[in-house]
Amino acid sequence: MFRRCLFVCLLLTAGVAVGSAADEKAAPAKTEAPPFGRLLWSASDVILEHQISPPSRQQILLDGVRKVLAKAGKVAPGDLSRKVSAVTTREQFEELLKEVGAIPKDGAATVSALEGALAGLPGRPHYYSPEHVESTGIHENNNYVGIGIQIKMHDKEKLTCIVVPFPGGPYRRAGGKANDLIVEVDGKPMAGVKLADVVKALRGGEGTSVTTLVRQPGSTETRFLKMVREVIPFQSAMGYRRVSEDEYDFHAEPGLPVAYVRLTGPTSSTYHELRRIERHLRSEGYRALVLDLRGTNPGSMVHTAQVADAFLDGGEMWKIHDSHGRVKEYKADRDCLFRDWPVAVLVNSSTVESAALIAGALQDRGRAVLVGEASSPGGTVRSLEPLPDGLGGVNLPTGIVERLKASDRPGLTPDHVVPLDNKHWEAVQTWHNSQESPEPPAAKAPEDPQLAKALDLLRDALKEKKEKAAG
Amino acid sequence: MGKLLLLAAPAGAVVLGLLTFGHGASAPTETPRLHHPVAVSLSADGKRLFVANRSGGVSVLDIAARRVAVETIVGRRLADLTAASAGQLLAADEEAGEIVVLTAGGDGLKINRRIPVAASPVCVRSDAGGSEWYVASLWPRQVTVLKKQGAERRVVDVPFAPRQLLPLPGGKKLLVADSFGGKLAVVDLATSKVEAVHSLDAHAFRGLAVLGDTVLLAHQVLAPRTPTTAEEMHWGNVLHQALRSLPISGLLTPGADVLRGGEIRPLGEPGRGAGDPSGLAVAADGTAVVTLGGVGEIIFGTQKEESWTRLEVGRRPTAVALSADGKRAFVADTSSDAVALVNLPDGKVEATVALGPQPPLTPEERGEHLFYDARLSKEGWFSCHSCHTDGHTNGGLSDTLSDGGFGAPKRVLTLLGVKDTGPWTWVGGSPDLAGQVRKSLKTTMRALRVRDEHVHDLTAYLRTLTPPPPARKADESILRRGKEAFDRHGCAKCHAPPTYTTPKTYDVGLHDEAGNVAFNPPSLRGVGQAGPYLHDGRAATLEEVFTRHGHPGPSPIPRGEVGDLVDFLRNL
Repeated sequence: MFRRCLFVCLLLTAGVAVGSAADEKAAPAKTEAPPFGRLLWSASDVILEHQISPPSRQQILLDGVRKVLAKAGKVAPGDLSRKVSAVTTREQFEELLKEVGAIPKDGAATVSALEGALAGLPGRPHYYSPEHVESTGIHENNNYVGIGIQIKMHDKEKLTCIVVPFPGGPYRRAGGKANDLIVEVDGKPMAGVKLADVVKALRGGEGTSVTTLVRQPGSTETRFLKMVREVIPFQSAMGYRRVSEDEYDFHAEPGLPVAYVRLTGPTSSTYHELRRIERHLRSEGYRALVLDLRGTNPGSMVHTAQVADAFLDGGEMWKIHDSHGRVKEYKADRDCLFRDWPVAVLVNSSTVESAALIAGALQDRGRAVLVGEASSPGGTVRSLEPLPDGLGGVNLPTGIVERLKASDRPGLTPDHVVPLDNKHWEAVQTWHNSQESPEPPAAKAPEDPQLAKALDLLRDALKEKKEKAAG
Repeated sequence: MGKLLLLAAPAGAVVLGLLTFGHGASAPTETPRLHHPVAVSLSADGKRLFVANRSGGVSVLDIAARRVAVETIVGRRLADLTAASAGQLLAADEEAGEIVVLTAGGDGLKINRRIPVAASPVCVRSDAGGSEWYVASLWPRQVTVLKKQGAERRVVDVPFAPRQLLPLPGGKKLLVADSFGGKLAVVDLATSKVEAVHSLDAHAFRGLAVLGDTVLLAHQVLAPRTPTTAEEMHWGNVLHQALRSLPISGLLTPGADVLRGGEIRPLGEPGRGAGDPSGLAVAADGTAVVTLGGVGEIIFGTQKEESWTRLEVGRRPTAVALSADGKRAFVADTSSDAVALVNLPDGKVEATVALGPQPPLTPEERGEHLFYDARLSKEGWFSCHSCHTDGHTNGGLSDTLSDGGFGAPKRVLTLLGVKDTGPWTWVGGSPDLAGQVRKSLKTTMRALRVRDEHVHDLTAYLRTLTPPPPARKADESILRRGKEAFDRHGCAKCHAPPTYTTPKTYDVGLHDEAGNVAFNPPSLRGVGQAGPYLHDGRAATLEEVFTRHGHPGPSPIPRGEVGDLVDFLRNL
């Protein structure tokens, strides 16, 4: 994993942005967009089935109709509420939409109306388009298939330009370089082609091949690069400072045998990455760990549990109560990374969902001390439930968390409160982001009092351990 | 089995009834037959390799000549072979329930004695001096300690079905490893008592060795809560293989945490599983060699090395011995009836020596090979055997699609006796066995392509599997009372003899995490060997099924009757 340092934010941002651009522009998408009535009805099915304390079907439908009418500048009929209440089937609802003229004008309006309707409901369910569902799955499963590049439009040359050819990726292995301009893909000229469509031409299934004709800016010398698309793994666990394309320095303070590891989010590869990192850190003589869960993205419950389990030696972690009153117990197995190491976890208001579960379990089990700021009250878990027939999905609250130790408030309460103002937090985030690019950062590490406190605590813990061992 | 003999019979001689002959295996006229090599042992001078074959023979390989010098039929179904004192070999005959004492001399083997032991001996080891021998008997759950070369014996009951044994340095303790699940027992050899039982989150220990002050164990790890998707498999999140080291001091100290100070090395890597570690040997310099039976490879290296070398050696390598200098490995390939001679520093197979010509395989035989083949699964992560260990169960939970969805992990069911127990899966969703085999290949093992002939052959093999015998035969009067309780409480309504199941699903007051309430009753044949119990393994023992979980409800079976009922069940 150290050898394949890739940069999740950059590529996914590009991917998502490109995806939505393609949706808006491509004509066929409009005609294929499912009717609003069918979408909202399916969404209400999913909400009623999975959501904790769901709104009633009538409320969901009523909000939806109102949203569409408001968007179109129409006034809702006075008896709309009564009419919606009388609806018992999808067909009746679709009839009603026609009757009151609540038909979004195109696919984009349909999606926007649906998003608006759901966002106003209790629990704030969020509609995901099929593309969004796909990209979420790719992110969680860490199985992005491609040739390992990040691209942008070159304004002067009007050609797509390679920003980063990822280390170890097919493009770089084929001889591709940064700043390459893509002249052709599989023999098709790419001059004047929109970024979204270049991406489409470049994308394909695992194991399929693609040939690009490229040149450097200002040059006329072209090169053919042939490569096979493969899974490009992204790193989700990082060290403190990137020292080369494929290596991190885990020291946040030189000379101190305390390793710093930051999680961008639990994905399918995180447990594996942590195992690799642990072996490396042990061989390098580290003896304590700072785990930074500030700004960690949410992941699936399976991956969240894998990561918490990685730090815990057996026993319970948490319970989840679902909308049907069923309870799932999450337990750790007895294998445990960083066994016997003192651990401090950095938390702040952005330590929510997956990160909050992990931090909370480590705190409740006495495995780690939490340093930083309280996180906002959560207490529920959200998941992405698919709509039938590939219509996308709905992200909604599906479970209530029961922590091992009941606390007064559902959010995280640090053991050591250390505030960090917005300006400093932004500087820390910029530092974090810069560790995800392939070049070692030029900037100096920012001031981070939360990290400094964690290092102090671990320094003391190691000292205490040493004294204990000495007698 | 007569106490018979050996050697240098004319080429082409075969086993006739109970008589045993040796014969030149390399002779071209030899009748093709299967050997199934399962264990290897190097002669003291390093010139010959003794290969125990499941078919009953021990082949003697002339290493320099790279050929079989002779094969001596010594038993009915050999499971293990080990060197005792100079020139003496011990073979475990699983079917006969005997340890066969052999002497190696010249080019052949002489059968000295047969020592009856508890049924299904699957592992035999000797102490350093060669005079005290240890035997693991699988289904009886017993370890027999044979002192003074078998003149005295002690029998030790262990709380699981044992397979591998490891005499610990000092000669005072014996480590016993679970054949299916994750338990380890330490037996004190002076008192013949189980001193400690440790439970690891691991299963199928296949390969134990001492390295310095640690014990190395090769095993598999199944994650109960990770769904069997292709993506999770890729990263080794569903099932992975590991070589674990445990400090001996921890194993020997009652109450100590055995995991403290230990290490675990994953053998697979993303995109490249290490299906079914099945044999282990450690050289004097600390190089460990693990055979990966499921993917036809060996993997080797030292504890210090970050990445280990993997080398393809055959189809199903299951046992390995090392030369004294640790530079050569001799690997038995159970499926190909061959031994690979491997040069470790060069990372090369020098030669593959066939033990004899193989006949065309029957569907059942092909199915057995497939059952142990992890290459059927995505990236070689697991075979059928990886969870259904040797056709039985590892006792763990797995989150497969066999119940129609992910999110409610279920206990891995035994396949021993599976043919008569349809419909299959916990929810009884598969009315035909071949269909379930196909589904498992597709949605559990994530085979890229499911071939009809594979489904056919695997199904044929499954149909040959029979339920395991009970660990102990209970007293007739107890069995009678137990049967009365079984009848009185209407157990047969769902668990109807002779298969002790019925082709329906029932709501017995249990539900899984996905809300399923109707389960197909698992067959009770061999149930005493197949714990833990109920769909999610919530009952650790058969007693708990009734005393803690009130099965089948609504009114509990009176405590006083549970003992007899359980004894009856254990004898099915």
